[in-house]
Amino acid sequence: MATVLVAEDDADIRDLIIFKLEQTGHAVIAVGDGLSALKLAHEQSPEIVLLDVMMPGMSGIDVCRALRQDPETAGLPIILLTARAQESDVETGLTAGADDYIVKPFSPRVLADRVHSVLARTRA
Amino acid sequence: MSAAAAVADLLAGEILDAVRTGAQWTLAMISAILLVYSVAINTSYLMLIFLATWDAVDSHRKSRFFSQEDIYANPLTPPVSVIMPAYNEEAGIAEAVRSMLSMRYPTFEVIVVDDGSKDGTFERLREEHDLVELPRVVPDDIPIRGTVVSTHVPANGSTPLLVIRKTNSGRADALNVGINFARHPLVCMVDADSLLDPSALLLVARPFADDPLNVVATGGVVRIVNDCDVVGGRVTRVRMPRRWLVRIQVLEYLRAFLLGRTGWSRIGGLLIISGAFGLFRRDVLAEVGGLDPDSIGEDAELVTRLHRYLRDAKRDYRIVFVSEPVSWTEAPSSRAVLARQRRRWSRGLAELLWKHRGMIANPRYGRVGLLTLPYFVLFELLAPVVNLGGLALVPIALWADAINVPFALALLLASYGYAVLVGFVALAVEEYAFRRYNSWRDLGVAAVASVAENFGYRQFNAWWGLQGIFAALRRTKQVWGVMTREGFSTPGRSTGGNRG
Amino acid sequence: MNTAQLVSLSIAVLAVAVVLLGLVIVTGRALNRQRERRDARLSADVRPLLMELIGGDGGDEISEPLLLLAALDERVWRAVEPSAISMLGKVSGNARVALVRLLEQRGLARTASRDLSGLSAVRRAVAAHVLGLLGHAEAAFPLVRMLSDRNPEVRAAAVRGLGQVGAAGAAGPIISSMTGGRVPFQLVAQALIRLGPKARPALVETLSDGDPAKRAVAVEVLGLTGAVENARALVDVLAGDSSADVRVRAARALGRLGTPVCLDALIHATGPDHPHAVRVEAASALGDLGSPRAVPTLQQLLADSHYHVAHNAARSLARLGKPATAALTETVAERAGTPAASHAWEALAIQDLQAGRLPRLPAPAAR
Repeated sequence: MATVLVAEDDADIRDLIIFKLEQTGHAVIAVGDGLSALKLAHEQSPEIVLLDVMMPGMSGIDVCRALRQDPETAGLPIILLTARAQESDVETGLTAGADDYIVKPFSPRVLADRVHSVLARTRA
Repeated sequence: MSAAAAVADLLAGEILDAVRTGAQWTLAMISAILLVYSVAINTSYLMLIFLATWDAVDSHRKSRFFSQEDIYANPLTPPVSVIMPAYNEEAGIAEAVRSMLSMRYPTFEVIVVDDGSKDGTFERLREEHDLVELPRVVPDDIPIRGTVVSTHVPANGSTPLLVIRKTNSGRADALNVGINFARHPLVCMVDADSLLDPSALLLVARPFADDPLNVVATGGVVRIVNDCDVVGGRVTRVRMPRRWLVRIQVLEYLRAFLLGRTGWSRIGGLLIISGAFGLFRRDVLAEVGGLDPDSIGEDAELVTRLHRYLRDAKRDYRIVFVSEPVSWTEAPSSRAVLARQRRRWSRGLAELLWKHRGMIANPRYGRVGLLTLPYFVLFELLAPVVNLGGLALVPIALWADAINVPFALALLLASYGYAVLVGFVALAVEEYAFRRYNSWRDLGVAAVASVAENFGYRQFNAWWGLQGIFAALRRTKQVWGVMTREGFSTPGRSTGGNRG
Repeated sequence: MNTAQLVSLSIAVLAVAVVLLGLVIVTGRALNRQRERRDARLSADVRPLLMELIGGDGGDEISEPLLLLAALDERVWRAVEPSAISMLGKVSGNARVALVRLLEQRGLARTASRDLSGLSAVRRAVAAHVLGLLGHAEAAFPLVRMLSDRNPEVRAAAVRGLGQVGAAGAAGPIISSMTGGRVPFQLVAQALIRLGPKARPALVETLSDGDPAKRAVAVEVLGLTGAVENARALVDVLAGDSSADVRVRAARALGRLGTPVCLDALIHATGPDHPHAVRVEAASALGDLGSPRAVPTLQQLLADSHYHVAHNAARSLARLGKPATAALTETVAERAGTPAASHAWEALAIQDLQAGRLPRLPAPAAR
């Protein structure tokens, strides 16, 4: 099981994600904005990062790009949370270096599965 | 002494008396007018603020049910071409473009117009985006002055970026070149040195999606970034600036730009959309011939011309100010640079009003003609004259016994006391509707700044405004204020001020 | 009262006003923070239950939190209700099913139906919002009634709610509600898109409405929902609508639909007797459509005197692959020196760029 860093400004969704991931046995560090996510990604060295795209200040895409540019965090698996299947969002997200994305509205179980499979893929 | 001489003396005495009474009467009259003027101008601010509050309450309510996701996920949200003119911006251009490209918006392109920079502006972009030259036929919708040298796109073929290099011909012409090259129906004009919130474009485009057949232009809020935390081209924490000169400007922006413009927009008389952040319909821009390169306040001039053109053509249209989306800009932190900026603003306004004088008080131009333009003449253009005139006149009038001390106090009260009140009302609205400044300390600073504004800052401002008006009268060659900037960025460190 | 007294009175009034405002600001902020803290405290105990309900995986697992939440004291429930409602639009699958069951048991649908005729506009809007999120078919009728509410937020919430509920008969009333800009264009479009094929008869009928905004919505939605069988109706709009804007949208819609009928109509619409804006859009729509049969027309358009027509033709050709490449090369060779050749050259460069063949710039000479 892994340490997951979650950045999501919507407190409801954040709590739901925390619950689901802890239920499936992960340790969760959760923050409400992009900047804190960037900071904790360095300080806490999580094994995977879950970023909401739409956050005030730095967006998930901004954070994703910043993580990829820094050699220390360049290899960190990243999953983006985005609204509906908007092609451009997915595209910019993947160009910015995300490994996978989850579309809102989302099913908590699918989210947990996705975290699991991205971890499995990157650990392999 | 002869009788004739005595009569002459008596007469002279009477004439002197008459002159003195006349002078006293004139001074008293002027003082009375000053009093009325001061009350009127502050009341007008107050009314604009109330109109703005009404608007803010509305949008506050709306945001409970309608999220940005709705606009984002809507396939009918119109694509936008973002145009960023750049002249010697090597320090900040890479960051500015990067943050622009990661804006949240369904479909958009970024067009950087390198206006003949003499520094490494283009090189920075070339390195960052691996630019290749893509020859383009130069469009001719809007007549342009500079010559396009070359056009470049990223080699990956997918990043929606276009870099145009051209000979130097000024900001307005550079924007026109960008408008000509724009592929999308909406054009967003931004400055290379301003930072946008990631959702700013979505919010400022919303009126176009809501009412696509009528909205022709929208403008967003400009706030001051000095001493805020900036990371990766985004403002991550809002703080009050450290210097009082800038703190006062924060309050001024809040009152005049945010609340003032929201108020005008509410009654359909919006005249100014800031050049740092405005969204326009491309086809209408092309019809009116783009920005006027000879105008010194080209943003306001453009909007005035849009009003004029659309009214003349008897078209239904709306120009809307959106009070949420924020563009952050660096405000002058030294008096010299501030002076240059204010002289330019006031001169631009004077020239704009002169150019479109036919619209002033002309019923054909609706609210803009009957309300906004006369207001701008009376309360924006002439305010420095009245302000400084009053300052000089009141002591004289007191000395000449034209007014008594209580009246002088009343004048002070009407122009300064009332202004402090207006400042506090604005602060209360900010606190209620926007809440951008979170710490108690910032709140205290803001309160002190809205009082301090009236001692020194206002007088200097009026003086610079007066100089601007004189410059417009003399029609001197336009000299742009030069602002040297440090780049933004550097994680964990706040931005430095200008060294003007 | 003399001037002096008047002045001192005004000073006093002003000072009091300023102080009062200061107090309003400070207490407003303090109260706000306090309320936030109180809500947080109240919901702190219940939130985990809500998360357990939503995050659980259906079946027996949910029954306990469901029972506990359904039996909650009204005061405590009110602290978590906003979260529960907002989550409804954010989760899918079993999580949503569980949440809907909870809200049903708490009687939310009933309360919302009652609130629809309440006095407070905010209440009515929330009610319309909730009914839409719950998505019950029986909510359609009351929501249609809300389309003529006097408050714009309520009307907007009703339109969106109707889209979510998905009642076929709602399409007509939704479109009518646009009259005079009473409901935002994009919300109407989005609701109609959600209704899908069910909305088509009403949309086709709207194509001959007198209001250009309504026709524009109908055209866009037909294009976006792939109404191929209605292509002919859109062809008529493209050929003869009185509003240029509506015709432009029709061109775009036909490009999306992409049937042979669309192709012919778009080729025709690039002709010189059509408005400039329509020709520009048609040239671009031919690229969306992606048929090589458009190549000869597009090739001719490269020589058009209007920049945007020629430019869009070039961009469309760049997207049409091999047959277009030949035409572009031909134009470059045969019309050398003309704007047509320059446009063709640009299109070829775009194809090269896409294929990764565009040369890098030479590094600048050292300064």
